[in-house]
Amino acid sequence: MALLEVNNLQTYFYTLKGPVKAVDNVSFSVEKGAALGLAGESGCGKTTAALSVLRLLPFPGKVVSGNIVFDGQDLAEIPEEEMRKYRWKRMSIVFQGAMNALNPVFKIGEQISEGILLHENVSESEARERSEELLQLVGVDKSRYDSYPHELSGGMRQRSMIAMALACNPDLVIADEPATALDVIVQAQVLKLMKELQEKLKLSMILITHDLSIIAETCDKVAIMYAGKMAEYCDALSLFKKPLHPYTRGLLAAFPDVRARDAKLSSIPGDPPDLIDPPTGCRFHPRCSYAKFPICSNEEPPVREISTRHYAACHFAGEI
Amino acid sequence: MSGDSLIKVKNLKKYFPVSKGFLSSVFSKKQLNVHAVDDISFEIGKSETLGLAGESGSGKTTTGRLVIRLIDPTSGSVFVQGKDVMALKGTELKSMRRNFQIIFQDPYESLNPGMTIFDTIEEPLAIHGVGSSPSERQAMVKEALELAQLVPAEQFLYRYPHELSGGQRQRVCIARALVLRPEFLVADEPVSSLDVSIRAQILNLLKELQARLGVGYLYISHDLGSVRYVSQKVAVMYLGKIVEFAESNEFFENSLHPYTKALVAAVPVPDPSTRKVRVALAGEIPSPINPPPGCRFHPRCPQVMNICKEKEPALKDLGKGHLVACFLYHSETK
Amino acid sequence: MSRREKTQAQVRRFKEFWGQYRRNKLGMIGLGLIILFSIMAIGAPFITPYDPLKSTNLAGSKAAPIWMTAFPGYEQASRNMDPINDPSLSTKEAFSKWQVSSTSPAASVVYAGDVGNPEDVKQGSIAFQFSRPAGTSYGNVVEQAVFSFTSTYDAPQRFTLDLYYRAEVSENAIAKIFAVIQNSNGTEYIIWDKRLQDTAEEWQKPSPRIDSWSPQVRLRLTQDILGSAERKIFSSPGTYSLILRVTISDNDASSDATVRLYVDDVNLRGYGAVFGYLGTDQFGADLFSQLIYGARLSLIIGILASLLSVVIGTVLGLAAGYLGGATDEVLMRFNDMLLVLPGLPLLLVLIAVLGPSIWNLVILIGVLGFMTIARVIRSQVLSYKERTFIEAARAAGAGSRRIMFKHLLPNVMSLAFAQLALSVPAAIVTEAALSWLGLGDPTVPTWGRMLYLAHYYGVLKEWWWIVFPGLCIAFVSIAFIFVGYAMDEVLNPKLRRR
Repeated sequence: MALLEVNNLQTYFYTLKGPVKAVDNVSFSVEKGAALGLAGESGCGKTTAALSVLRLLPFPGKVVSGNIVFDGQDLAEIPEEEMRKYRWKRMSIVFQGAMNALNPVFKIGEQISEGILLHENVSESEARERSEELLQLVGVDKSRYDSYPHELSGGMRQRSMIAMALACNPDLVIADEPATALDVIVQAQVLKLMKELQEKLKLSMILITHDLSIIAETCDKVAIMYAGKMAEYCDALSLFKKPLHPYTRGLLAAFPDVRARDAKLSSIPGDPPDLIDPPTGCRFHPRCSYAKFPICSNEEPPVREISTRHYAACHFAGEI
Repeated sequence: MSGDSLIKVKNLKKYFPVSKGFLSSVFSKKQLNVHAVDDISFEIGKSETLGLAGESGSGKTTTGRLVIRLIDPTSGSVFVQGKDVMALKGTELKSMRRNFQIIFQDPYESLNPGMTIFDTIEEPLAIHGVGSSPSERQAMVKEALELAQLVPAEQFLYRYPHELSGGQRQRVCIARALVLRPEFLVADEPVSSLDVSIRAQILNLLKELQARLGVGYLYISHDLGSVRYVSQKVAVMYLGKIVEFAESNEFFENSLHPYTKALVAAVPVPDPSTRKVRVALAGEIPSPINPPPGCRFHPRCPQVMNICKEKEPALKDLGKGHLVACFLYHSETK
Repeated sequence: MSRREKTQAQVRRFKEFWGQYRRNKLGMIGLGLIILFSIMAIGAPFITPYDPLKSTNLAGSKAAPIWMTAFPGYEQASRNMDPINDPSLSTKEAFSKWQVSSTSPAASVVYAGDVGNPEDVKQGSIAFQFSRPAGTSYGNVVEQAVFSFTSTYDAPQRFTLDLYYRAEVSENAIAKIFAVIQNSNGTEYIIWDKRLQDTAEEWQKPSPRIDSWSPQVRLRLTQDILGSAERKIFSSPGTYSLILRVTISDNDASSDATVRLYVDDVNLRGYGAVFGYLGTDQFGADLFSQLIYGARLSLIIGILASLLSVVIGTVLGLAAGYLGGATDEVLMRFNDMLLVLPGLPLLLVLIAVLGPSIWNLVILIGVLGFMTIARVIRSQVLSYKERTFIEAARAAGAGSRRIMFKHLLPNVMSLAFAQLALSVPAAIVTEAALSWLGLGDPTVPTWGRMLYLAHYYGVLKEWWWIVFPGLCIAFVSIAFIFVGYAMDEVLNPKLRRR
């Protein structure tokens, strides 16, 4: 059984201009010890989906419907005090722009210990020991426990955030754009670290990013989201070898590969849509070169299993 | 290096003084400097793109601003049409600016939120007194918008930056940069803030404009994939120095400097089947205030030799325009 | 084509701003109040018919507002009394309101339709006549004209009687005219008398004026130069009569005797103790008018002075912020020096030296209020200086002046507007403070001046004189502050990010 199963999740933001359908009927699952990549561009809903799992949505967001089954328990139903037992203990998150999420007036070691002390009944010195262990685990010298965030480099801060996320030995870690703000070499180091941790600690991971290459390197399964909906969902190899959804194809063709000589990049025309008033029918149809009218503009394509364990939401998936 | 060169950069240096606390400035006389750009030279030909790669702290962004003299260098020259840009003053300097423009990383920040698109693009024309009548200027603005593929141009003239998407804003910046038909453009991370599906649009636009207008680019980015895509020649900087320079394919397929190799190997590729062992380098870029002695890369170099710790290697031409600054390739040390 | 589109773009921007502003409750309240006060200011001549300073003696001095009669102690307070409707006696009707009588057939009081006070366009007067041929003398003859009226209130604060008379008296008669008021109890009080002699061609009026506050009337009626003639006469509500009595001593029968006395423009006025919506001041001028006209002044002074401060502050802030270096140092030291000086005392000294005219006030308040604004604008400029679009403008070749005025100024403008709104209350209150201290312009009806006069004339129980101007000052200030805060809220986030 999967560690986390999200079914038909709908999360809306109730703004003054109307409800923004940030996540509209999305389903995915994460197995124990496996990594799921949640990919898409800005505004597609991937971060919102992750925050919905942890029920950390900012106002005015609300999980409207769907279930979030973690280790057999539906998290969408339980009250807040119960939810707190799950947060950080069973699943945690490394936020986007994590380097700036550290409190500048506290030592980083203390910030890690804080997480431990809040959830477990241990003494301060025990918490400190554990924090130092975690720092070493992520490749930061444990003497850095007493350093302030501004004294560390970007890469080290990112690692500290990872250590913080691991503080209570969670089963699932959500990493939201963990490598975006980092240099290429540091990025490689951090991703390598995450892969190693995943194997060592049997962690399940949801990696949220817009960079498909990172997903190719680290994830077993991929879910591509577009404008709040699931576009394609399958294992990593199939996604890159045989992409079914036009958007996925467009994305792959838009990535400059450093190995390619005389590459030809094709771009996806148009701009990502407005989520208050999304296009009718298939949300991607205004930008899709395969769109056929009137079906693509009138009917929303359901997520269908096209080949084994390979899902796509396109009326013509498999034919094009 | 062949072809008529558009710009020739020679021995460019930029040091930023570090302000110390009151006490340390009283007790210690030594002035600390950030060696942002430390003696670099290169040439860019007409209608050619030089990709400048490197990580943060390498000095590439500072180089971009130095070349068009947005900031003044500590020493060195940039020759354009025979004249040293760094020696120009006043009106001569101002008219030089007509020929050189820049596109910045954040398209929203680069636009004045209170000015319409029309005003923004018209401004360079107004500053340099180009266009003899308002209708002529309007026609030039429209042309610039069309070059940047913002059509129909009329629709965009009187909008404000916040009404446009990220990709559209960057196109406005491109239109603004091109309205004076410069020969040279510095593009400083022009697509890093944009969505993936939009990046390709902008990169393709840049290439097209180069083919159409014959503009030369200095393309600065940490994303090696895009650097390879748009550049004919590539240089990589490390701690203020150029450590390797070559023609694009040669650079990526036959990287010589250990840093270059590590950098190219570290770029993730969209192919799960090639989960190669990436030569992940240990450590991080040291502080540019106190660069390591000798070869700046030696503390992290997997192939470090004794000489590397004492002497700095010069950029050596190994043939076919491929330059490397590494003792591994100096015949004396072999 | 482009002009129109440009305006369209600006209209769109304004509509966006308005849409956001509308949602700010306090801002809307503030705006509503300002509109209210503006209506007050603009519509002043329509709202109140009196000139605030020049229309004195509209009622008694320090009269209470009419609505005070709802409160205990004021129920019976006297209103203005003006019983004689047509003092010019232009019609016989007017004359018929008078009851005439005489003690002798030779004497009669008639209506003279063609004789009248030449200053008055309308002809008509009361004629007291006595005529007899030589031979008989009648002795003492009395004739009178009586005008009755009722008073339902307490005694007025003051009363006056005006009239014009012209006498033609033959030498052998002695005539005298008396002005008498008979009160509700029947007691008669002579308030004026005059011996009529000879023939006068011109119309005359009593001199000094028949005024219950004059020492003559006071002494006459109360034997006390400070006594209250009004309370003596109008002691209780009831029917009163004004009697114009002519007495003739006819003792010399040797020749004809004629007495002809014309009386015109008889006007008996009682000055009430309550008047108008806000009562009166020391001089009987309407306080409500002063309040309404005061709105004009406060708004004008507030906005002009504030505008001056903002203009000076913005230019200073722009220059110091963008040019930096020595310019910044010098300008900011200068700014700080002025900031440190105590504002009100400095203003007092300057006003005392330069004279308390309204323009001096505006200029001085304006010039001494720019310091905070300069600092605020400078901070905003500093944060903008490093933004990429400024770099882009420099890359395009723009010079300092262009950057300051085409790029920085428009972005700073919205902050300047918010500062404008926020500094208006300070200007209004400063003016009020200066006026209250006696250094305001005495020829200009501001709220501060009202407070000053109230204080100066020792107002104790006339609380409305203080409270209402005070409330107006407070509400105008609050209104501008709300608007300023709302503008801040709306404009700032929009400038940062979208």
